[in-house]
Amino acid sequence: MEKQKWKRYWNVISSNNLGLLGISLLVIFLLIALLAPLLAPFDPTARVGAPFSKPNGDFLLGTNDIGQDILSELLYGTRVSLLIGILAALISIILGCLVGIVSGYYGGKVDSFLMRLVDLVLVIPFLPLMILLAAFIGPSFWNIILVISLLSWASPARVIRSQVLTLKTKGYVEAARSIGTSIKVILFRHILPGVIPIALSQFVMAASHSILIEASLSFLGLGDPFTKSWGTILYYAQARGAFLTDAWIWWVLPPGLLITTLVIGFAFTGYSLEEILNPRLRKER
Amino acid sequence: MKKVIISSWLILALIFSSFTVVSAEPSVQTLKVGISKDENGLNPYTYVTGYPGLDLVNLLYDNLFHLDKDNKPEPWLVKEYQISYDVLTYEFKTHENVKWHDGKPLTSEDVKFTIDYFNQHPKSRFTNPLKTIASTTVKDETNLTLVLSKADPNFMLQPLADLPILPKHIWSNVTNPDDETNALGSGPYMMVEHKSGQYYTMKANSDYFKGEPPIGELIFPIIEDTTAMFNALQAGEIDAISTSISPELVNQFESNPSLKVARGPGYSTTLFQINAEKYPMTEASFRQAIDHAIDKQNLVDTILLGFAEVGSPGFIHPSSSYHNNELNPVFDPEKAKQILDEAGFLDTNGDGFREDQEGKKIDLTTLVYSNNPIRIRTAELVSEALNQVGIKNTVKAMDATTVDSLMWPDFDVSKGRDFDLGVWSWSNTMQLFPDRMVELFHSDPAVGSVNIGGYKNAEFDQLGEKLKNTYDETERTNLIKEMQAFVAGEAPIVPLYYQEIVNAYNPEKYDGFVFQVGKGIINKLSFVGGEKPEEPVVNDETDEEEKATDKDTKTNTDTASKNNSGIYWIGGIALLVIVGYFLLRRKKEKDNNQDDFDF
Amino acid sequence: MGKFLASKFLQYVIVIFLMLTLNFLLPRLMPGNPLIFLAGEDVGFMSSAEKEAILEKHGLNQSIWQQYGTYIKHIFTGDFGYSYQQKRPITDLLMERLPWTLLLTGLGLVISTVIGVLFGTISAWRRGTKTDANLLTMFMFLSAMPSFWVGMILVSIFAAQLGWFPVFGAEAAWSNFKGVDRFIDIVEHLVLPLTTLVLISVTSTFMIMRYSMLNVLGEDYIMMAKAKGVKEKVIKYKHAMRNALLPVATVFMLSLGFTLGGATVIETVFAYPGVGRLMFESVLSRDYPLIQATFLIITFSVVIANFLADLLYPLLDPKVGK
Repeated sequence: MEKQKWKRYWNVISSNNLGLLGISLLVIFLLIALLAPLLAPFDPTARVGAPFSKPNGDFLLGTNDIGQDILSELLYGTRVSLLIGILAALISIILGCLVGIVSGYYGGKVDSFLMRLVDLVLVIPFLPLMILLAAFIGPSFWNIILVISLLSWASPARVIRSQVLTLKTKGYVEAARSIGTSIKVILFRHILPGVIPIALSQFVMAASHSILIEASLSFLGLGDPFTKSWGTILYYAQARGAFLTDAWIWWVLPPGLLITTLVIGFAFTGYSLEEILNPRLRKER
Repeated sequence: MKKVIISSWLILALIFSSFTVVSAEPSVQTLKVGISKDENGLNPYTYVTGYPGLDLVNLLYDNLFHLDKDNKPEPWLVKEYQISYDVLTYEFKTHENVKWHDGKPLTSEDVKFTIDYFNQHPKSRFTNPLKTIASTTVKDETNLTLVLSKADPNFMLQPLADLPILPKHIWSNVTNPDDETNALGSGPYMMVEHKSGQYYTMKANSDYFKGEPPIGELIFPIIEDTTAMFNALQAGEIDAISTSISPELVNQFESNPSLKVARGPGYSTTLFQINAEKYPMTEASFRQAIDHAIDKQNLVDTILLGFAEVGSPGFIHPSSSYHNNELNPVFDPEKAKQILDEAGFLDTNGDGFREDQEGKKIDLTTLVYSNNPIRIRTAELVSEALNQVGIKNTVKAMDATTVDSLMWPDFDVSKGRDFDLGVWSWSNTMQLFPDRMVELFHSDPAVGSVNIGGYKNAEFDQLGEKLKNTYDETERTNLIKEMQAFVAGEAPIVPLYYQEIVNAYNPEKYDGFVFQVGKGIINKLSFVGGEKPEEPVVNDETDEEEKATDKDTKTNTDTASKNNSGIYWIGGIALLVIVGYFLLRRKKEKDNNQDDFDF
Repeated sequence: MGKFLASKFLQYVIVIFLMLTLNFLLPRLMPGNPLIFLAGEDVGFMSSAEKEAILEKHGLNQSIWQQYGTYIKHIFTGDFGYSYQQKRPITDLLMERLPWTLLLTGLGLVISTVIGVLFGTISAWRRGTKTDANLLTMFMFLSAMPSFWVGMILVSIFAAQLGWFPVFGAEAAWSNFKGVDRFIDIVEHLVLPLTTLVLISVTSTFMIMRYSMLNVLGEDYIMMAKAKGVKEKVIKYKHAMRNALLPVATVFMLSLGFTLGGATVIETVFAYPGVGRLMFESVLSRDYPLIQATFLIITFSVVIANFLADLLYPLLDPKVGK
């Protein structure tokens, strides 16, 4: 039965152009990330040319401020940006699920305490906390993931909580509860399967946000300058005057477009997932 | 190549240093000079940065002496002066016709008051140099005598050419100078308005004792983002900027026909700071190896694209008259390895990195400001070079305040330090006063107030003490040279480079800028009339060409920016036409079934 | 109902109190102290007595509890104190920045809401058509672009290259423009940052409106109206749109709370003198009072907006009110 359900999802996704496009974009980026060493003409950390070279036969997108090949940087950057997006989203969704399920299922004081916590997190000014953490442990790949996920679990938690509330009133859950099924079984058998699809769509959305947040943090100089993400490449481009010279065409446009494309890949996928989950939206007029 | 440019700069500077009197008509109505930070109130107590903050203060106030473009003190408020043989008594006669901005006369009383006031209300930059003054005697309105308790070789530089004179009739009522907002002085310009975070405006002081200033109204817009600042200059929204142009943009600005670029040596020193208190950096051999491992020329070429001078191992800038010419930057990775081998730093466990003399692992951290991409890149290359000779280290970029709190806790070297290595930089005052070498390396925190690496060596301390009690100029120079040789050998720091100052401005608007060595074009001399060097800014050979084009474009002064957008319009239309032409041609060719494109 | 609001109110008071404490602790937990910003560049040449005097003047050598006490007291008296770095009353600083921030982010919010609602309705109404697909793709594309990237490209093209708009700031204040001239000047400065802001923020309203409209269109009463042969325009705007606006209104209220915080990234790109930039700088310079004040404003307005949304929700939606 489970298998059929998933198969139905897949059918809906694949019959939906946006969803298909989104998934294929994600697959392409995944392939680029995996095959980066094969695709990239150079080691992105090696200084292979003169600094600030224009695009030419050797360096299709020119070189950066210390003579590293920009194309190779971008290809390898796919790994970092994708990983930051996925990991940060994963952590925040796991946290969100935990809080959402506990809060929704148990209700009462636990619920109101957790929801106040959510309110609190939603009003915490993001930036200073980022600086604070970066200052404490130094801005690194993991800290950025940590900060993004610590501050973005709250709204998925809310969404998941309301889903749990709906599920709780469903006949089979109430039935299971009335015959004294253990909480563990109810949670894993009945609640979790109902939550996973929503969590999945939230995950995809969170991933696209994380990638954008990472880029913005890097732009403000709060990222890790030694992690070669697309955001960091843009930071150096910006800091070393690419916006003031012709270099913006090959140093600023490509990373920005890559970020946009990857985020769109996630957004399209997430959007069609949501369509699947809300049958009413699917109904033909 | 770089050397050639600098030396030609110096020669030309010498040739043109003959002075001529420029007639003082306010030739320019308004001049907009972009600055990068709000400087608070522009009086001597509240300004923020040494450059350009204090230079803006100096447009409003006057000093007894003033540093000329080569940083030699020349009389300013002072008309005539006499110094006794024992260098203890200074007699001054000031100009008679000097007035405060409110019309009251500036007299010797104000000078005496200023000295007393700064002693009462300390502001370290101005108060500390006053400590040697034993007595101040006012003879009459313009005559004044200062007697020192002991000779002070820097007395002309500081306080005389640094201390802004305050109006007694105003400041005698001020009890809390740090919160004072007035900026009434005697300088060539008067403060009109300050909108916090946005701009300052000043207007010419037409009664100025050195003649009416050449600019009617000076506006200093505050633009914090450098990209926005450069954009604004290129778009003609501002006429000059205080910020030095980043190396990668120099060519772009030089090729811009409406801008002129003024270049010269900068005195800000970027160096590799070593914590000499922490093993293994306590070992001189280890530090020497670090010095030998770093290719300073490569840093200058790769990161600064040649717009910098390679760091002199003795700290002092090569264009300074105190520089020890016998010292040359070293780079020899093999030698570095050899030094480490001989000192017992060997890779005993075969991981590719050296262990210390007792076989323990070495794993160092190099700190760097995260807000400065040039320094981050520097740290990256230096760290790589050290790894290559087997000194394991990783770079950590953190925000400036955090790095400061680790390398220089509470800005007090007696409070210790918590770092291994770091890319650090000292501002230009360190080069202006070469005897600050003592403060950099003296082991006593009270003397070595900026010895952030905690370097200790009795021999150097002795040299420092000796310098303190030496007044003969050649002897002092020799001592400072000796200290440089000592530092070069011991390597408590590794000077990396001195970034060149590159200023750009719109010569159509105003071309009277004076490039002050180590500082740039934003200084008092750029904004006063009267005596001026005939050729204010001389950079390199391309300059003559630029001037030729300047003359050609002189006719369309005010519409320059509008014409620019016109050019873009024309360009855009031309592009459309060309594209259209090719499309049409392609279509035509298709129609004719011609498939061979030959372009 | 009253009880519900009372308990909500209490909850928000607790949130505010926690945020106040966090605002106090965060800056002090950061490594490094504001000494260099208080003392200026001469700090290296100061004696420790001088440094001590500066710390004492600003109450920074007191115990953390004493500082906390003063902080809370000052909040209740509305005294934000002096900025360490700019050495001016913080109230003045905020008063200078707030109008610009409100102009930029407030106007941005209104414009993007209007555009989002309009196109969201169209898109939902034409569900499944090419128009819907195109609108959807376009709006999702907009939200996928990094804001600073859009901003900088706009500056490069329209300000630096074409010279149509100024490259920085909120107005050419030193020009002393009056009346209409000043208005035009401000509008010219506003165009690019506002465009950027709208471009990157319009999508969320669009998506919410479209989603909610689709939900409403599936409701029985719409079906019924259709069956009865009510005019399409009437159904679309009178029945569907009005009901679908509810979630948009809630989100609008909540976003209103964030407008006071400004838009740090966009303000940075355009050197726009807003609160977001002020906050960012205050953090970098460990300007404790300024950090506290800017955070306080943001927290308060967000919490108040939340509370208002709670208050308004039953008024707007008859279903919740019962």
